Amino acid sequence: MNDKKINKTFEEAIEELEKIVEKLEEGNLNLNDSLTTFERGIKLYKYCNSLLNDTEGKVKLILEKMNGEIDEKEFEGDE
Amino acid sequence: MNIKPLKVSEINRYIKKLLNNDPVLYNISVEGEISNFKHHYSGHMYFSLKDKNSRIKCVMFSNDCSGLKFTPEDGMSVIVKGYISVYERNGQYQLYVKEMVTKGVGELYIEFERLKEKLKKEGLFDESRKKPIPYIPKKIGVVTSSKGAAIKDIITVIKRRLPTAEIVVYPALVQGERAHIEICKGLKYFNSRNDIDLIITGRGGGSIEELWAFNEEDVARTIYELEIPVISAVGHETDFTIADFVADLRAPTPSAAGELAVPNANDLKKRLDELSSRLIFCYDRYINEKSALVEKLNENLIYFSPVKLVNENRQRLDYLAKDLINAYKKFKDNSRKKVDKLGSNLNVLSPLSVLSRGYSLAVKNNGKIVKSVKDLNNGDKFDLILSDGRIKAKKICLKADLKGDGIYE
Repeated sequence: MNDKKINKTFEEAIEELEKIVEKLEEGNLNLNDSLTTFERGIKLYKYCNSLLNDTEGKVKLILEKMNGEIDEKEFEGDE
Repeated sequence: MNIKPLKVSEINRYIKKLLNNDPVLYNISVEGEISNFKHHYSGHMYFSLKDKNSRIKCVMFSNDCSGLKFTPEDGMSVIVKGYISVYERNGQYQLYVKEMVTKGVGELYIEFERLKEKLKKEGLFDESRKKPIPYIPKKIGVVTSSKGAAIKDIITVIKRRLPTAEIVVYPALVQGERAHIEICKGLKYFNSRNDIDLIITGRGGGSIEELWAFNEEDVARTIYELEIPVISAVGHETDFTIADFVADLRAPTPSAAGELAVPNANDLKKRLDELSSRLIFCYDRYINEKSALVEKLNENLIYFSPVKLVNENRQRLDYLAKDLINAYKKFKDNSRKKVDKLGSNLNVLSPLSVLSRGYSLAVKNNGKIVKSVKDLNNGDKFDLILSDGRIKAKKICLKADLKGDGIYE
């Protein structure tokens, strides 16, 4: 099967997934196409899920030093 | 004292002339509270301005009224610009109002309107220039004060909705003289990075003076020139700033900016799960339908298969073979029975069995059986065969009558 990386935004990926489900639900595909389509759907599902389930994003604060250099540190709310 | 009396109109005109030539009254700004407001059907507005101790009559002509950004009402505190003159017919001086703004806004409000018009004409607010907000931004730059409720609200809402989102805060003053400079710097800083895909800038609510940094021209132009989409989130729902007009999306509050910036991951997961179960369900159903069809076809195939015909023929052949063997056996048995019967018949018919009962057989020398007296001449020799042997005999004479005792010698 094509194991290309999915180069889509989340929105595009979930839209394609929706179309795939509709296509399969219509049930007009031949066996080979339906298998390919199904696999593509599963791949898109995993991809979308990974976008939502990645590790928690950090919150950082930009610090500008006297010499103009920029630094980042963990943001801790009020300081 | 002999002073020539003046006519009323003359003195009024004189007073009017005095007032009109006064360098102060010619162009003044007066603040006060509106009372007795009347919007005449002619379009002119008549009212009084008052403070605690005093009042002054005012008129605003319809061609000046058209520029008003609000509807004046009794009790409203306003600042008006205009001049003092006299309405000769009534001998009444009054304030001719050319511009009017609600108090507390004053100069700033006028500046706001001026800049808004200017930038609008330049096309900075054009919808066509607005960039789309990414659906799932990975890294969000926030330009605001690192203290206070706004940044907390933004972070809390974003984290609640999409925990994977990364947030980078550029701490900037959001009020005071230098605020607009720092805001611009923060915006440009994020634009210079290549990992930020959405910027939020704003602050919590405040007076128009406190929000002013977001009405500065350089902030507006910086937002306009950014390559990254910007959500503005300044003050409360009712506060509009120039930054709101030029931003790609205006959020009514900082919390709302968080809502607009990212989707709710849980909603999306639900949608995804629903899609995946539909995907699997309909694929399963598809496969089941197809395999049922295959099963059915296979049954048909077996039913009409030549194998079955061969088997049938083989069976028939087996039966035939069995029949054949049976038939042969039967035939053999029958034959044996027949032979046996013939054998026993033969026995009965055997002349020897007659001899055992006391008969004898006369046989000529040539082997022929003597059946008649004429077969033998006198003196002919013959054999008499008995059950236990032979007797050599000779015909002597004939006694013709069988009933009498035939005498054989």
